[in-house]
Order: sequence, then C-alpha cells, then structure tokens
Amino acid sequence: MRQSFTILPGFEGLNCILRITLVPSGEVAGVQIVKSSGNAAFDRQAENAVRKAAPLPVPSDPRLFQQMRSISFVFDPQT
Amino acid sequence: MYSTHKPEICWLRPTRALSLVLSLILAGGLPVTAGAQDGELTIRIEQGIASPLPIAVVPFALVGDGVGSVDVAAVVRADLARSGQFAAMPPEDMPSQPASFNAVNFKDWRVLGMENLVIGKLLQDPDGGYVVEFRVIDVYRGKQLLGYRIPTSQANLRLTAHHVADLIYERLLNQKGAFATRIAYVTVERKSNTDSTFRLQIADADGHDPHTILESKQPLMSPAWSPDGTRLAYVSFEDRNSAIYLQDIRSGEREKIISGPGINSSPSFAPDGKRMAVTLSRDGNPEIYLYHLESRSLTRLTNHPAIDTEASWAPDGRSIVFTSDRGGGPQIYRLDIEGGDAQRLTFNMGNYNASARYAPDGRKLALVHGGDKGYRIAVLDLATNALNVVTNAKLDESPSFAPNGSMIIYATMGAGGTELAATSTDGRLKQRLALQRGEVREPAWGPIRK
Amino acid sequence: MKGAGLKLMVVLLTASLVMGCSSRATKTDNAQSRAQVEDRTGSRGTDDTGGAQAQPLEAGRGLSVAALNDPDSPLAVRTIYFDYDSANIRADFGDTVAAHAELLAANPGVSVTLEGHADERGAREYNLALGERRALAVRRQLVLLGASAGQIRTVSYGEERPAVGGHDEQAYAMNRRVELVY
Repeated sequence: MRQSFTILPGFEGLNCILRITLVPSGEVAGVQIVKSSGNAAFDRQAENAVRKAAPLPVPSDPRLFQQMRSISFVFDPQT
Repeated sequence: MYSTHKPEICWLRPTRALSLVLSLILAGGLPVTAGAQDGELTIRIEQGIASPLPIAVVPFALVGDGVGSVDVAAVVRADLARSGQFAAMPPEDMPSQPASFNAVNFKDWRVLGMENLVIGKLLQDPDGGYVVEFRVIDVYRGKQLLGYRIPTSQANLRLTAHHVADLIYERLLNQKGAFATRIAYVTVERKSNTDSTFRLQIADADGHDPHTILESKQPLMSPAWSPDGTRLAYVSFEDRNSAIYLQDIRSGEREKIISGPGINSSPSFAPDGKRMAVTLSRDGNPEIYLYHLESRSLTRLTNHPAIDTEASWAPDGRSIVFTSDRGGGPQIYRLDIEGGDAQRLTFNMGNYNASARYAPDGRKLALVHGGDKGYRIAVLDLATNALNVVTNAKLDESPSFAPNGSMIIYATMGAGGTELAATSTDGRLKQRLALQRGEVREPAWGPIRK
Repeated sequence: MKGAGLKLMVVLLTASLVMGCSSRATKTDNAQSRAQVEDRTGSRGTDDTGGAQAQPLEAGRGLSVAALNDPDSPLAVRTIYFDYDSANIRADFGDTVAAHAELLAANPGVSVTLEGHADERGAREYNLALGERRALAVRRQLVLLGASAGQIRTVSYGEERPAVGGHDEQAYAMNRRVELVY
C-alpha cells in the first residue's frame, strides 16, 4: 500500500482515516472517509492506494474474514 | 527538455506491499491497534512514495473541418509531464482512445494502474469558432471529476490547451497551475566583441511562439512584468546609458519613464501595479526608489553609501527585499515600504547572496547564492531561515518564480551560451527550456493569462 | 605646454609616491615618452590657426588624439582592470590614471567617458552597480589628480558588454574593467 500511496507536493503534515469495506473476494465494496485531511488530493491518493491494491488478500476462513470485513486505514506519511 | 526525476511506474505492482502488510498482520507480526469499533482492524500507512501521478490524456476527437492544427491533448500532456507532478502515458501505450464517458472501459485502465483519464473533443462551430470539450475521469471510482466546454478560436487553441492543463492540475493536485503563462527574457546574438544584437522576447511558458518585442544594438536587461501581464518594464542602453522603459505588449507602444545620471535600472512592479521599485544612482550611489506611475514621482526608500539594488516586492505589497553590500559583500535585506531600518535576512550563509525574488506565497525567497562551487540558485525559507541550494551548475542566475510558486525559472550556462532552465522549489526536478540558439538570459515568469 | 609638461612630471612623481611603482626605470621611460607626446602635440597646437574661441578645444582634441594614437604613450592604455568584487584602482594602473588625469587637466576642452564593466559572475543588477562603482573610483582619482569633474562622464554596462568571451578567470580578469573613451 505504501508503494501505491503517492505523496504529492503540499502533503506535508497531512493525515486522513478511511474505512474500507471488503467483500469475501477481497474486492473493495466501499470506501468511507472517516476523517478528511482537509486536502481533497490527499484523501483521493489515499483512497486510490486502497483501490489499486484490491483485491486484498483475505483469509478464506469465514470467521477470520469477519474480522477483516471492515478495516480502518490511517494514512499518516512521515515526511 | 529533460527531467532528473525518473517517473516511477508505480502502477505495475501495487498489491505486493499491502499483501505483505496483511499477511504480517494475520500472522501476528505487525502491531495492529483496535479501531473505533470493537474488533476492527486499523492499519497505519506511514510511508508513501513521492512519485508523479499517472495520467492518460487521450488524443482528442476532432469534429468538423479544419480542426487539428493544434494537438490539444499533446499540449496538455506535455504541460502536465513538464511540471514533474504527472507521469503522462504515451498515446501508443493506451489500451483504447475513448472520446466519451460511455466509451471508457474502466477495467482496461485499472489493469494498467492508470488512475486518471482525460478525454475530450475539439469541435468546430458553424461560425468558424472552436470549442474544446474535456472531462477528467477518476478511473478507480468510475466517476467524472471535472468537465468543461471552452469556446475558443484557432489563434487561441494553444492557450486554451494550457488552460485545460491548469484546470486538470488544480483539480488533481489541489494547487493552482501555471501553464497558461508567458515568460519574458533577453537574447543576445554576438557577432563580434563590438557588434551584438539584443532582443527582448516573450514566449509561452513551454517555449512556444517566441516573438521579439524589442531589438537593440545596445544592451537590454531586467524585464519585469506588470501584475496584469499587459506591460513590461525593462532597462535599455539605447541612449548610451541605462534608462527604464515601459512597453505595452500588445500595441508595442513604449515610453522612457526614468532616466538620469548614473544607473537607472532594476524595475519591479508593486503588486498593486501602480508603483514600481527602481534602482537609481542619481544621488551619487545606487539607492532604491519608489516610482509612482500615475504622478511620475519618486520617493527614495534607501539611503546608504553601499550598493542597494534588485528590489522584489512581498506579495502583500508592504515590504521589499533587496541586495545590499552594506555589510561588506552582497546580502539580502528586507525593508518596510512605510519606513524603518533595513533588516538583514541572510546571515551566516556565505559571502554572496543576491537577486532575491519573493515566492508568490511570500514565505520563501529564491536568490543567487555564490560560494566555492560557483553561483547557484537557492531557496530561503523565511520562517525557518533555512537556505536550500536547489541548482548545481556554476553560473546560475536571475531566478523567477512561476506564479503558482511550483517552479523557479533561471538562467544557466549551457554548451552554446546562457540558456534557461527551471527547477522545482525543492530542487528535485529540473528542466531545460530549449528556446533557441545563442544566449538566452534573464527570464521573468509572467502572471496567469486570462 | 611646457608648463603642462612640468606639471605632468610633478603629478607622476606624486603618483609614484602614492601608488608605489614596480620599476624606477620604467617610470623614467614613461615620463620621457609622455614628455615627447606633450611636445609633439604642443607644436601641433601652435600650428593651429583656428579662431580664438575654438583654439583650446581644437588644441585639446589634437592633443588627445595624437597621444592616444601613440603606442608608446601611457595614454595608449585606456583600460583599467580590477580585482574580483573590487573597485580599488590597482597599483599597476596608477600611472595610467595619472597620465589621463594630466591630459584632462591640461586640456579642459577634452572630455572622457568612463565605462565601467563587471565580469559575468553573480547578479546582473548588482554587477551593474559594481561597474558604476569602478567608473566612479576612476573618476575620483582623475579629479584628485587635477581633472575637472565636468570633463568626465561615467556609465556602467555591468556585465552586459564583456570585452572577451569565455567563462574562466582569464576572461573574467579582462572583463572587470573601466574603459576610458575619448
């Protein structure tokens, strides 16, 4: 994910939190911005990083998958 | 043009890192904090890569007769790539070339990791005019981010293309673009030591459409834009001494506004466009004066037996920075227009700092920094007082900020003489602007064109 | 004209005391050749049968042209070179400045333009100011040695009109200069 999270000029000191909902195949069902960075470009790059990484490798065990159905991602690049 | 920054093709294998992260989490190898909801995983991403944003600008569909004299998409593509912030996909690598939203096959582009797609049309009106229509599409969300229909004309097609690039840049980077701008500069054609031709020229920021607005056998120097971009002030030696002229760019009408004994130079428009800071030595040595364009009157700003010159206005118009050697060598000082003492800004930063120019946000200065390795462009952060040298040649000079503050254009020594180059303010990205043969110097980046 | 020659010798002696000179022999040679110049132009001035008002001007012009065209005259040296970022007149140009001061002092109708120049390094506008400072330094010395300020016009071209191309110290040394243009 860090490989696909693109840092652009003006991203210094920004962070955001996204909540990702997954389907059992590992595809992204939804992305919700829990806390915006205040910079639309930053939020979008964070979301793109998640979407580009899909499908995510999820466990085939349904009980384990339940734990991962919803994941929060904190994007807080240390620049 | 070249770029020292290799665009990283980050869309080739985006999943590996996350797979690794998730595998580690599942294996209990990475700390995972509980989120707001019980049992929810929270993953912190604390690293990213500073890499250009992938974008595909699909060749625009041509509708109507006589269209196609300007490849609008190619101009947009080149602008975005030149900024260093975008990795523009070459048309031959594109899986398809859709011209409408419905024709976009998102899956094809996602496979390539392409995040941003620009599609458009160039249409000819029945009355002979042109319309540029374009959309920016978010590939991963399958949504339109931006869509415009811009009426234009044959003569303004390139300008419109630059406007399109500015709109895309601003939407995707959350920062203003500076593609629809022009630069002024001086060229010198040297036939012999005593026979030179000096030309004051203006070109688009991408180097296109250069044209001469003044030619002289005597030196021309220090072009300075009026804030509205309609006029240039400059120094001409045509009367065997320096004098300051003001020229209307469109009409070519020019007027000698300041001449007198000694130096008459270094014009710099105040942000209000009504005043100009100039350097005159009529009172015995170079001092900075305020010239009021309407009343044609002068107010003296500095009074020191040392050299005071090269004024640059703070964007709020309340102060200037300038070069003075009152401390021994040339250093940068700041002065309030309303009065007070000049404050030195460059301390313990070497023996030579000159030609300071304010960044459009007023937080930084670009300047010429002289040291053991030569004369280079440096950026001084006014808040932290950190000086960052951003170029690495031996004879770099005349820095000028792009109106969006993203780049600094400057003059550097090339194989065939002085040429123009640009650097990002952090020095990460560099480009050369191959304008023409011979000497090209003293670039001044103009304001955004309407 | 004899008076002028004597004055020149005095000025030269003063100059040599002030500036310090590399070789006494050279000094004498210079003085002699300059005296000859004065003699020659003096006689030409006498031959001149122009009107009374025009005479000083004509004589002055004749004097300067002849002397400036004489390769043996110190007046043939019309470029003064400077050190980096400096407007100090170097000791080796003391004679040259003194000779030109004498010429101007003796010929109030003669005027000279001092063109100040800088090498290409650093800021153009700062270099324009530096060129002026060099021209003013030469003017100050000329006036100190008897020339009248009204005879001297100064102009700075900064780094805009280099004498030689090239981007090395040798070229820079040739470009940091004040040219005396009669």
